[in-house]
Amino acid sequence: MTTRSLQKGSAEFLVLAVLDGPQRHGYELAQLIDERSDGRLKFQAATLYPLLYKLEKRGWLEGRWVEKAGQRRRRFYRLTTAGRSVLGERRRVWRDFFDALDQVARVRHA
Amino acid sequence: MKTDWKHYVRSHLPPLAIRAERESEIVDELALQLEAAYVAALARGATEAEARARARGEVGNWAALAETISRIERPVESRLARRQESVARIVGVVRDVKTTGVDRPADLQVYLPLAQTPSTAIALVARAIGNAASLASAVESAIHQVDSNLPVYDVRTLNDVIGRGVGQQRLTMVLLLGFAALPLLMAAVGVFGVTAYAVSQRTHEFGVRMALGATHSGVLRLVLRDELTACAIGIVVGIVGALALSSSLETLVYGVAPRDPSTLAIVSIVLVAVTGLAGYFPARRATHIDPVRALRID
Repeated sequence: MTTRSLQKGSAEFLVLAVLDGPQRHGYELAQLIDERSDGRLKFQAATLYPLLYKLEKRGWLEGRWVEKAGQRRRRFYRLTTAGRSVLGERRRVWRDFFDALDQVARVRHA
Repeated sequence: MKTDWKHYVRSHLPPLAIRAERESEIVDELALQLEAAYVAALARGATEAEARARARGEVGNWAALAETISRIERPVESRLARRQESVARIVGVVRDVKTTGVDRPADLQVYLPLAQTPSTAIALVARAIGNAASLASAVESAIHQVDSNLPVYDVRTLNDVIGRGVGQQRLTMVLLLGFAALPLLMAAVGVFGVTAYAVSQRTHEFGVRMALGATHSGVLRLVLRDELTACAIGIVVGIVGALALSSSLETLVYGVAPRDPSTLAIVSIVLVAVTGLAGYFPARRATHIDPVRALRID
């Protein structure tokens, strides 16, 4: 098992988490995830864009096109109220799961 | 050499079968992502060729990506395409049509272009303003203008189609109505007979009552009250029976719920009226009794 295979199950959660704050465009999201995980979690275009569309369709994200002079238009995303409550719920579930994992497998002090 | 990432994405991404505007947005976004990856790789000290390879690696399988996007954007369409093993573009969504009968729930239906799926029997539906039947000859001549050999038959208004659709139920209902009207008539005759007999049996009693000062309307009320009390008991028993048997009636009636309160109310009112009328005439005769004659009968 690799970090990558674990990342699949948590992709939605990761995207929601990095959007908890100012609005960001797609590439920024991928970069933030990359940076915050010291390069261990990587999102490629092929994964990230379908995921963003899906989350937007579910109403968890809100995207809007921003056009600046001399730049190509970009789509900026922000969490909706529904998205924020899903994020809160996911954070709780993951925290519980980590605690349980730690208690059983001593993940943090292994 | 500078790469045009938008062009690169366009030439690699298979057609998406979604709105052109939406497709162009998706292409823009993907191009931005690839370009950003390219710039980031250059900034980390990669050569131009390495940076380009790094950016191209962002999307490994273009066909899989296109399929994922289609599934997210047009879930119904992508399911249709899968079932038919060919791409189908949805050009419109229509409301449900009850093709198997007006009393059955509408099935799932897909309309396909006639040119792609030819059929020997075709039904043409035309909407008319005003009298629908007057449109028939105009439609027929329009069809013959296209092909004079085409037979046009079974021209009907939609009301006819619906009428034929409920024909079976209508026949059953007419029979049921007949079978229901007959007992009602028999009941009316019976009530009339019983009341007339009861009045004749109570002639002496009415004579005494009237000799003691009972008014005409008082005697009428007396007779009708007995009558209608019996009728009310009959209606209550009937309604309980109807409710108990309603489930077996469900398949026979269309447009009326078997436990429809207004139907039960109307039936009850009809029964009260019939009973009232059947009882009224003998009761009125009772009020015309001459007390002296009545007392003399014994």
